[in-house]
Order: sequence, then C-alpha cells, then structure tokens
Amino acid sequence: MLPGTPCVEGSQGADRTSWRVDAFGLAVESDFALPGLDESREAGPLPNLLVRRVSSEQVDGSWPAASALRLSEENFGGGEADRTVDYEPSAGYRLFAREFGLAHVDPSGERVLCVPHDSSPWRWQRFLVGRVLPLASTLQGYEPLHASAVVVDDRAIAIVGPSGSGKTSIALHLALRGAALVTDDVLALERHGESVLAHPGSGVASTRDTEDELVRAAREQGVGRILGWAGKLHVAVGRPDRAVPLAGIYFVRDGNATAEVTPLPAPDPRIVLASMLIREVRTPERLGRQLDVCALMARAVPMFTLDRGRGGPLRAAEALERHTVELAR
Amino acid sequence: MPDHVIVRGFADESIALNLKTGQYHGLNQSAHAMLETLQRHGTSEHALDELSERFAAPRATLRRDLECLRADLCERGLLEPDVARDPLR
Repeated sequence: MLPGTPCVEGSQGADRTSWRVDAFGLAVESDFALPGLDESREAGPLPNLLVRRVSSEQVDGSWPAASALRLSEENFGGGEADRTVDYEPSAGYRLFAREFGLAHVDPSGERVLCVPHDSSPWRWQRFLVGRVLPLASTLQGYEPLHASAVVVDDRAIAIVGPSGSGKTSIALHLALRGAALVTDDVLALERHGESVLAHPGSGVASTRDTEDELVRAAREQGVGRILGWAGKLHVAVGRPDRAVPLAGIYFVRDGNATAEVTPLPAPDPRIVLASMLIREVRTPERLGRQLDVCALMARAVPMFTLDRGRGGPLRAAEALERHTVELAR
Repeated sequence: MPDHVIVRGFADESIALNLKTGQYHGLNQSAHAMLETLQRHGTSEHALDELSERFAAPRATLRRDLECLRADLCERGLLEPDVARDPLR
C-alpha cells in the first residue's frame, strides 16, 4: 500500500479566478481548480458547463426540499442516508455523498454548484467525475457508458464491467503499452450520424492499490503521474484532445482460465442497456435517446467478451491488445 | 403505434420502450415482424397474406397469433386499439 499523500492538481495562482477543462463532451469552466482535471481544450466547440464552489447553506438554502422527489438513496451503516439523489423539475438535481461532497445540477446541465467535502480532495474528485459531471453530460445530450476506454489507432476501445471487474487496471496496462487513456469508469458517448463518438473524460484513473506491479511499471516507464491515494490509487494519464470514434466494446467477465476475446455477434440488448449510467434522468427525451444510442452501438460497434482468465489484468490487457490489432485490419 | 412508444431493432430481437411509463418490452423476431405488419395493415387479410408468405404457416394459426399479439401489445400500452383498421372484427 502506498503512503496516502493526496495532492491537488492545477495551478492555484492568487489572481486566478477561472479554470477551463474539457471533459465528458463539455467545456467546463470553474472558479476553482478541479482536482485531477488538468486544463485542456478539446478540438471543436462544446456545450458549456459552469461549476461554482459554494457553501452547503447556499445549495440547501435554495433547494426546494419540500417538493423534491427522492430518486435514489443508499445507506451503508444505519442512520441517515449516505448517498442521495433528489430531483425537482424546476430546480434540477441535488446529489449528496457523505464524506465526498454535495452538488446541485440545474435542469439543463449547464450549471453546477458544488460543495467539496473537507476530507481528501480525491474523494471529492471521485464524486465530481463519477457522478456530478456525468449527470450534467447526460442532461446536455450525451450518453455515459460505465466503461474505461483507451485509444488504439485513433479509435476508442471501451472496456465495460461492474466496479471491481478490473476494467481500470486493464486500461492502465494498455496505457503502459502506449495507448492514450480516454477515460476511467465513465465514457461519454455521442451519436454522430451512423457512428458513435467517445469523448475524453477526466484523464485520471483510480485503481485499487494492490496493483503493485502496475504502479511499479508506471513509475519505471514514466507513464502517468501518481497523484494520491484515498481508498484507491489515483494516476493521471495523458488523454486525447478530441472525441474519437468508438470502434469496439469489450465486456469483462470471469469465465475461462486463460484471457481471451470472444465475439458477440448478437449482444443482448439488456446487457447493453444495463451498461449505461445515470439512471436518474428518465425523461422521455433521454430514454428515447439512450435506446437510440444503444441500438446504434449494437449494429455499428463490434462487441466482444473479454475473459480475464487467471493471469490478472496484465494478461487480459495483452489479449485485448492482440485482438485490437486484428480488429484494425 | 402511439407516439409515446418507440421500437428499436437489435440483432435477435427488438426493444419497445413506452416513454410514458419508462418500461421496456422485448419482442422476438417473429413478434417484431408481426408488429410491423400490424402497423402497415392492421389485422387485415393483407396482413395475413404477408405473414403467410413470410412464415409459411397456416392462416388460421397466423390469425390467432396476430390477434394474441395485438391484444398483448394493447394491454401493455404499446398499441392503441383501432377498430377502424381491424376489418376482421
């Protein structure tokens, strides 16, 4: 386990009042440095998102709690809820995660008021890039897929799987082998005619700190920067500066003893739909768009299963890399 | 088909989404073919002609299956009862 020394990225000049980072298909302008989100600009115009740091009193003071609907609630240890998502049509969404943060996203997804928790900035960062920004991205017309993704031959390869399935580790191993990391955990997709575009995410991968081999290799090869630790190891990896076509989707599973890739010529639509994130937005427009994107992916993007095997994420990454070479031919 | 229902095809089946309820419904290939036929011809003899040619099944069987599907879709809110387009009634 590495020493826990969280650090905050981004310049903090005394006169600085705004930061700009393009992530999840949005041009994010904030009045404070967002941890783990290095400034970047994606080629081409993007819809705007304003992020403002405020106090919890400012968020809850204007939130219409009496008329809001509780969309989801998670309780991990009794007592009050640890994570909640509330919705009110005129106000938008209120997201709360104990010891992570609080955020209010307006109905259009163009403005976010956030209250970082006072603990490690990496807890707050995970809340921001794992929940808040993907919600705003969804409200602005994108479809987030629960996936990590890398770029191979100018095309995105998505690695889909539930938390703990190893998709981040596999993606990082591919990054060690020269691929750029598009995103970790949340991949913002956009329909572009009869193809699907994948937008860069945060550029920070969060993996369990038991991946000593991965960490050592990252340090030896100078790939990525170890940013800190807060339950998971956070590594900043270079990401592409523009959206790229989605060329393949690999569903990670435990199956065979050896790591291998198997084609999925007729993917179950339920599996594709279940891989999409942000279930809180259930307007007819959004649900229709989500089904459209899933159907388009099923017919236009080759899908495969990736058996992890027993050799760990490195062997799975090697199997995937071999397959992407064949896919490119 | 009502405006609040959209149907999208996947490899082996289609998914019908009721935008009012947010519920998804799966249709196998046969059901999807029958649904398309229902949309074009209702439960008319033209529909049976088309399905008979496609599935090589007896008309009586197809008529029964088509009516059952129609009733099921109506019950699920995916199709609106339309007596005017149902000359068999």
